[in-house]
Amino acid sequence: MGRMYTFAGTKMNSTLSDLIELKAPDGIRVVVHEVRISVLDQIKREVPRVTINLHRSEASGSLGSTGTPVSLEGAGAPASDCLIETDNLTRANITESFHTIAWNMLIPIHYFPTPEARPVLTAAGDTFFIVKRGSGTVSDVAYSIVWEEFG
Amino acid sequence: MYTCPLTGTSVSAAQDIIELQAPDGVMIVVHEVRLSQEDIAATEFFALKMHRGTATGTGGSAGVEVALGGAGEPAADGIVELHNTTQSTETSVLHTFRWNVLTEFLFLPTPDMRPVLTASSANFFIVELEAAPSGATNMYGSITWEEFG
Repeated sequence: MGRMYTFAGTKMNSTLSDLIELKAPDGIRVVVHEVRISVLDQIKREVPRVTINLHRSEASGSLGSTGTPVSLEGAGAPASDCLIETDNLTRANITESFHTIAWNMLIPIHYFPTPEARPVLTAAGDTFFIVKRGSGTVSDVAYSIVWEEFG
Repeated sequence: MYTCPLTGTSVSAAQDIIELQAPDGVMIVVHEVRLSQEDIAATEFFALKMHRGTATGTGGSAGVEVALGGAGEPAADGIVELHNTTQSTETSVLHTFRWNVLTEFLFLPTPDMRPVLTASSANFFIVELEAAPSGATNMYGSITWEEFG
């Protein structure tokens, strides 16, 4: 088993953005375990939707913020080698798309693939895993991503 | 392991939303199907059927198969078509569903219950929308499968 990390945030820009960007640096293999997104302030009774795309990219976006990964293993665990950026207004390009969602924001997204179906990032390929926010209703959200590192 | 996403195509008619073909010499195990729709805001139940088929449909578009393992993985042998409005020939029915489209549809069988396709039998796995929706809606989602051979 590799080293397990998470990152959580609570924002979504009012314009299209990459909500989460996870980069696997050279020499590190990353396996994505889970993505959760839930709404913070959407109170309308009709069904609000926003499209979400989980995809690979070969380059970083920009104009967002950096994040600090947290080890799930607690004190004494090594720091993550991965880099997190959030809310990048200049979005990363899509090289390969894993999954698309027309998200009903009244119900949280829980992307929780089986072990066989977890997306993998390696330094030899497209090293960015992106949670892209597309068109639709605007709302602040709470989100988290969990991943495993090898190497 | 491979996946193929839907791309937000507008759906307004009965169709094979997803068609996955196992070519000669390749065994395919279906792991997961996810569907969601963008434009219908009231409760509506889509009649879905998962079945095997013996021939491809037409009228849709080719899917883009992606290796979940990333760089160095071989390209998929399985062939995905999306939104075929001239539907495939149905053989055996595996499941039927009534999907409340306000939520995401998730088909996630246990390992023992994953549908298998081999070239020696009906080698098409179809996710069929049996009737037209009340109005056009953009559809999203993905199918994930494993290949042997």
